[in-house]
Amino acid sequence: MEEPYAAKEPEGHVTLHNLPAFYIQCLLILPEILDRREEDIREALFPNAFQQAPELREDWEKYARPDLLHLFGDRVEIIREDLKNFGINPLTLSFNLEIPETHLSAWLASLNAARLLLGDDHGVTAADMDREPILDEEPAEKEIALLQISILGHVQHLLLEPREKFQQGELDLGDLGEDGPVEKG
Amino acid sequence: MFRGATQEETRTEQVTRTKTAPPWSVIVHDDPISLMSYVVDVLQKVFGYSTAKARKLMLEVHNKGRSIVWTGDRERAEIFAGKLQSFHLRTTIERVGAGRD
Repeated sequence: MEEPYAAKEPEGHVTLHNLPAFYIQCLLILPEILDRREEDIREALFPNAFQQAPELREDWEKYARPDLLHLFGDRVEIIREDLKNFGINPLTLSFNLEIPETHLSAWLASLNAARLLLGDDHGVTAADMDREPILDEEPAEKEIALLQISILGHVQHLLLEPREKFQQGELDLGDLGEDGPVEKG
Repeated sequence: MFRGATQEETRTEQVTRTKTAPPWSVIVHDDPISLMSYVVDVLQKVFGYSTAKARKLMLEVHNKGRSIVWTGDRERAEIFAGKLQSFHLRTTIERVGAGRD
């Protein structure tokens, strides 16, 4: 089977081609990985930025974090909807997935969030990231998590690639708004 | 501000306060998971940095554990930190001179 790759299509979307079945399995549980209680993702993904200025922490909690959590939730919904667009190539028995270009930021961020959460759940270290997962007959949960982190990272890499080939700045901060998510108005 | 101050005085006071306010640094911290190419991509998206500058900062994060990616006034530091956190880069804001850098 050919290697997976991402291609920019003229209709305004990027297609991931030649995805093996186990990539699909991994992507389909992406919303499940991300769908957690607010208090569980708060510290893991959005720690207070004012670690060394306690007098400003409340400001961050009040203005910045709610917007970040809201944006995170919106992106999970985008991913959930896009995952309905899988197609199968009957010749190669591989899968493809169409992602609107306007959703690419959401995908890149959500893939990173899922990798971080998996890493956090299983105590993944830099040394773990430098080795292959041990996948024997009954692999440990951590090894499965390492495999998932690796696959999601590969998808992230594929989605970054077409952007490098096309014009700079193509993926703007569209879904963040011009001034970002923490503008206090 | 005292009652009866002119508009000009108000403006001067604001400018002076802004000029004397200590600058803040936006700091990105290393994590073992995020792809290097993703970190470069996010730094370019958020700050509009060149690939070379974004790559240099990313390598500093990777090798030293953290990197000051921007310095300036507090409000903009908060906006930038929020954008970086929205892409899940571990980001903090510190008064210049408060950290180890």
